[in-house]
Amino acid sequence: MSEKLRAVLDFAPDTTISKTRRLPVAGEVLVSEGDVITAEAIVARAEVPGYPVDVNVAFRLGIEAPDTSRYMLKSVGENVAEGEPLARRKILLGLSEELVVSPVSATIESISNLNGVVILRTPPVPVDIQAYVPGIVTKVMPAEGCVVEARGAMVQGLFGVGGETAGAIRIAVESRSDELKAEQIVWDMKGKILVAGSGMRKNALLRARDAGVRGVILGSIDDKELASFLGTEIGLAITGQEQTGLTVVVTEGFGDMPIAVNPKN
Amino acid sequence: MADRLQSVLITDCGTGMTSAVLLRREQGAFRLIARAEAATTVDPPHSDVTLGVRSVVEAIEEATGMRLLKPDGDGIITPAAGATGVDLYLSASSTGGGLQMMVAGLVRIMTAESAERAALGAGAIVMDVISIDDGRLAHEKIQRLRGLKPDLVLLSGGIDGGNYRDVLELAEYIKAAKLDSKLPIIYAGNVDAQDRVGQTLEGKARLFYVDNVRPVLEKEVLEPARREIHRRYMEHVVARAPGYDKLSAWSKTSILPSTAAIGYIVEAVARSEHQDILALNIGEATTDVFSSFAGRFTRTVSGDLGVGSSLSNVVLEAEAKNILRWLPFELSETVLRNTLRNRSLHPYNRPEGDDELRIEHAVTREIIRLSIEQHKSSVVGLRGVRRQRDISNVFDQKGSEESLYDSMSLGLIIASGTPFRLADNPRQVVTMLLDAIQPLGVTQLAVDRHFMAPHFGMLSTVDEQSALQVFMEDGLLQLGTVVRPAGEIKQGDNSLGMRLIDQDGKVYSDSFAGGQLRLWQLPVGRFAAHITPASGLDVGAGKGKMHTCSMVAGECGIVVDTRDATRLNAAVVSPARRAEVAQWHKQLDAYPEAKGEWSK
Repeated sequence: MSEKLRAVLDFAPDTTISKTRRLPVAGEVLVSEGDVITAEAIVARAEVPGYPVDVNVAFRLGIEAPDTSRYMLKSVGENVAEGEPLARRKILLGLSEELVVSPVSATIESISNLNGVVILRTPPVPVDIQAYVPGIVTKVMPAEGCVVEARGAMVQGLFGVGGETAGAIRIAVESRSDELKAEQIVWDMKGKILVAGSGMRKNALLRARDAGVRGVILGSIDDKELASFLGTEIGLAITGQEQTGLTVVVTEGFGDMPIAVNPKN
Repeated sequence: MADRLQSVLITDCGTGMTSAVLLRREQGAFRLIARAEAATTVDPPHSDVTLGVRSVVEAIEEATGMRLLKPDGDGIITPAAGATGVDLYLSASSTGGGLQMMVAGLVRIMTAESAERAALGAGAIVMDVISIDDGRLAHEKIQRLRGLKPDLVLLSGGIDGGNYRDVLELAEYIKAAKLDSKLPIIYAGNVDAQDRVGQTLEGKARLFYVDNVRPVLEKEVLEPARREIHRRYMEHVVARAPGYDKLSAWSKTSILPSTAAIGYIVEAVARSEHQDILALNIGEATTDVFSSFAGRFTRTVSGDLGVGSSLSNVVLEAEAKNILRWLPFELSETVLRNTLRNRSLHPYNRPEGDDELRIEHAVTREIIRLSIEQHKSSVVGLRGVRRQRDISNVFDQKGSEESLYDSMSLGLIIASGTPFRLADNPRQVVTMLLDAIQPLGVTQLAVDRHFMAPHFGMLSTVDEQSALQVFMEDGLLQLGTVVRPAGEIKQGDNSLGMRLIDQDGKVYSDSFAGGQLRLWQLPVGRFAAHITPASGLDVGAGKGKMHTCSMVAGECGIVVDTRDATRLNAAVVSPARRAEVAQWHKQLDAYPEAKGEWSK
């Protein structure tokens, strides 16, 4: 099967690598055209809106929903701190009061007199985009991101978990068909991207993660070993968001296959 | 218009392939004249869907000697004049991304369910259904709307003249989600709330109003919402997929989603055949199930069950042992999982060799089983309708909550999709369908081997009778009829006797022992059948009672399946089970040495 799989991989020993780095929402681009940057450089920053929190003010105060606005102490657009009163109802001829306090620090998003619910929105969350490859900024898209170009070798992986990472590459096995075993992982591999041969088992992956290895490139991996390492099964085809602490890139597929010499051949 | 049509060209632009069929009226009836396939050209480097369409049309021109493309290649010549042009050009499409919808309604099993049926019937992918009573807090609903970023929202709720406050609450959730102000929202709820919904969402979305999907509790009106969804679908594909602006100008009628077109032809078949039917379309990523039971049409999509990129998910949902139980050879769970993972990474690779083909067929059985399980829960009557009960039916607990799906009343199964197209012979299709669906009584099986249901579904929107006639005659390959008794079948004992009479009066009769899968090879055609089951067994007329019906012998003749359901469904992986599976395959000659024996 491996021969059949190799046909689709992209491989170039010396090529221009062009990466478009784009923010999920409009924000600020922090680099300029011509800047020479590292892979870890933050090239753009944005704030993603916080999450909504609803508070049923009418229910909590024991009032009719259409009267909600009358009892509010804050209006739409105002900020409110966690524990700060949102709404108040005087009882016992003003001698006492019922208060509804905000469960979070947030901004008042809406006040509904239909159902008596006040929706709060938590503060925005900052999102940084890194360069991903060390190179030169060749294009800036205002408020959106930039294009970073670098010269290097390009090997397309077939499957991966754990998201983007960068580091110096170290060949960790003698042959492309060798399995990288746990005992071969040493502490000076910290921060590196290891190129293993045919694969790694769960104990080797865990040891690499504990040693601070940033990523591993493997020919293949056994599906059960991967599930065991992740602590969960992967069902759908889209991966990359897993919080693994170690990025795993597979070039050939699942099972026991060495990294191809030249995937295009 | 339909009567004047003498020739029609229909294309379907699928994710991987674009296909075309040319139909011409001969002696009053439409015939399939030519069919062609080419790669879809939406993605780079082509980035123009019309290039693939031109390729298939050119292939049809070459095969027929006709001239169909305009001289500049930018369109189809209409109307026909001699050997030039066709009277009508139609197209369906499943490329450019399906229409991802969110549906909202007041009560999950009432207006929200009606809205969901409208969306599914229109060929959309329903990402989530939000209702007032779905148990989620307001912020969870808002977060869901924000997170999923639907292409379209269908907002329903309330019968006309009824509750409108809760509909406005749903509108407020949509407003609070701060979605793109260009997002189309179709409002199909209480007409009295239209103005206030409009005020709530003003400037927050583009609103389109259609008739209420549930104007009164006792009635569902889905067609106006479906039609509006189709209009938004066109907008969506034109904006997303290169070349659709041109293609939509080529056709005088709307381009419909392929799944909607399949639904139209399935509904038409059910209406015309007056029987309950089930149709499957197994794709690379998803599986669609269509059915019509007791005249009620239902479509469901199993979004993560398919024979390509979704295979990794299938092995998790089905469990490896349930896939392995359909294999006649030993295979470890590790090898199975790795094989299916690799197939999911290369979804367009064909299975190589007999073993990979059998693995694919084993997985297909589980995809069918799981997608039908999901489908059954949606095959229900109109819910929320007040029912009067009196003393005579107080013990009849069959309510609107209960599935209308009935294995015994199922009269026709239509299979389409990748695993059936890639099968080596029709008997492999029959074994997959029988193992996975296990219909009871008398059921006709057919396969849409060249995936022409979308084409004929498109034709049915302008000429249903012609579409039905040509779909049944030229589109479907009749596999035959299966007879499977319900009840406790005793291994080796006589389970039923059959007497068939063909149209010339020739009589065929035989008896069938329990515990086997038998292929009764008869000449293709229609027979009058008298089936006498053993006492305790039922083939449609009651236990032990003779059932008289008409049945079709097709490519596989008549198949009699007297296998015991408990043995068939056992989730056992053992040498004995493997021997049994091998025996079933042998009894149907499903995996012979010689390959490629399809006759059509």
